[in-house]
Amino acid sequence: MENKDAHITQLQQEVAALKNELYEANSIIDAIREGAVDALVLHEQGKPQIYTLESADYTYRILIEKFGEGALSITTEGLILYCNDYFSQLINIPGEGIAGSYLKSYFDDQELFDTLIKDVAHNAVKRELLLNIRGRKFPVNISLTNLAPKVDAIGVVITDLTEKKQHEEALIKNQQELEIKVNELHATNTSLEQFIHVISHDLKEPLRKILMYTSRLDAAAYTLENNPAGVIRSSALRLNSLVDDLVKYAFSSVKDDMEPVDLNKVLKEVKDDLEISINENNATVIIEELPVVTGTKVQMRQVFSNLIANSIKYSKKDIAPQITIDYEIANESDKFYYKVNIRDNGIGMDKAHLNKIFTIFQRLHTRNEYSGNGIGLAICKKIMENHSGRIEVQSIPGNGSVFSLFFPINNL
Amino acid sequence: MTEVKTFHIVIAEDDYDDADIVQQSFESNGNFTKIELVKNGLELLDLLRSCEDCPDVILTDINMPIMSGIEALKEIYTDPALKLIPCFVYSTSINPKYEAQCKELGVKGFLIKPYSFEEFDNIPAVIVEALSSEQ
Repeated sequence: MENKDAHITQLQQEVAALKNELYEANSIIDAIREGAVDALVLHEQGKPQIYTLESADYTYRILIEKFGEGALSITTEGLILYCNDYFSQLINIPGEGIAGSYLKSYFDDQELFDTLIKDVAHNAVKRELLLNIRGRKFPVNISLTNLAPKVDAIGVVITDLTEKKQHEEALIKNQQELEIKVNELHATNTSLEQFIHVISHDLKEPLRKILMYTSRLDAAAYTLENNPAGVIRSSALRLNSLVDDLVKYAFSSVKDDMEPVDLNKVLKEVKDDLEISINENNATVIIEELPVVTGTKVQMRQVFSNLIANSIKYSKKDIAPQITIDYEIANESDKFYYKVNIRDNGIGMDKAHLNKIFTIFQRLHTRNEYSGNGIGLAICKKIMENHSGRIEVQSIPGNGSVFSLFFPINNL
Repeated sequence: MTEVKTFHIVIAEDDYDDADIVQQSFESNGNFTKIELVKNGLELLDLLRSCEDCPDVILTDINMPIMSGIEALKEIYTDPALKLIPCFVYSTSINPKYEAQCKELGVKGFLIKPYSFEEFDNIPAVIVEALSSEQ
């Protein structure tokens, strides 16, 4: 009897202990369910074990389901176990019709797909393949991951490359068209340079000889007024200067390689080149701090040389020419420019003529008043267009002119 | 100090008229003891590479058949045996590109071909002056 009682007591104690454990377990599960804890890590015999609820798995499932790329799991033979919505929409077949079919049946090169499945036993595999859905072929990127040994299956991610391919093809096509244009441009440039070469040398050569040898003609037989050698000579001289200017004009269209050009250095050289003319005309050329622009040095020298020479040429008879060169930064509808100003105190121009002066052979004065061919400013305009910029002028008759050169600033 | 330095010059010129005139100009100058004429860049290079009594100054035209002056200059300035010879260029062409190219190569002077006989006579003087100021 005593023995029996002791047994019941022992059983009651065990039941109480079990109730206690059950209560603990329930409260943990409740905690997980309410989100108070995500998972439970228990250490059993030194090894961590992770316990989660199905709710946690569910998150991953939704993630895969709504994934922006095709996600599938397949057997090691390639039989589809599961596919997400995206894949089903991609191949336009309902999910129920996909599970249980072989994944390779959707690919254009089914043999290739077989080798991929073999390869994935050793390594994760990634490559581009063509899907072939009832004859509609389109490129995808496929990525296979062996899920063994945890699961005896293969995880598959399929990315649609149709749009990417279209962009790539468009890009390649544009690139090719661009290359053709660039080649055309090079060809035009080359023929232009050859043309310049012809006029700069072959046309000038005979002219130079005419000029040299007419000086040896016996002019004694004629009076000063009807000396034919003099007329030949002055005409040849004029033709020669026209050829020179035409060469400069044609040369200003040649697009050379662009590089950073320090205008301070250019102006110093131009000033040295024009030293004689500056001194003869008692001119003052003030050069303020100038920027470094993108351009070709030879053409920059040409522009500034033309503009300064112009300012000296069209100065007032009794006032020494004063030329100031400075710059500012101009902002026009969110585009920034270095605006380089060349200011003079010369005769200026009437407003009505301002837009004419940049046209080739356009002159505002007779040759007797001012010499020249009317090409200088046309060259400046051409060169500035070559530099993706422009030239402008502001002037008041009798009050000097301001020529402004606009150079685009690329990194502002 | 008063010793007059004399030079041996080679001139590359394809035009016979100009060659005559420029030769006369150099002969009448007095500083040039030997004046050699070649007709293009290739003849110039051949002469420079085979000479025993070699010129100590070069004057070349640009536009010449077979090999232009600029092509010849490119060869000269990349040849260690030749690149120290002072070179002068004269041309009818006023193409600014040629002048820029020549300056970049390192020529001592870029002259425009004269339009009168008197100016031709100035060429030797200009060269002598440039060479003297170097030393």
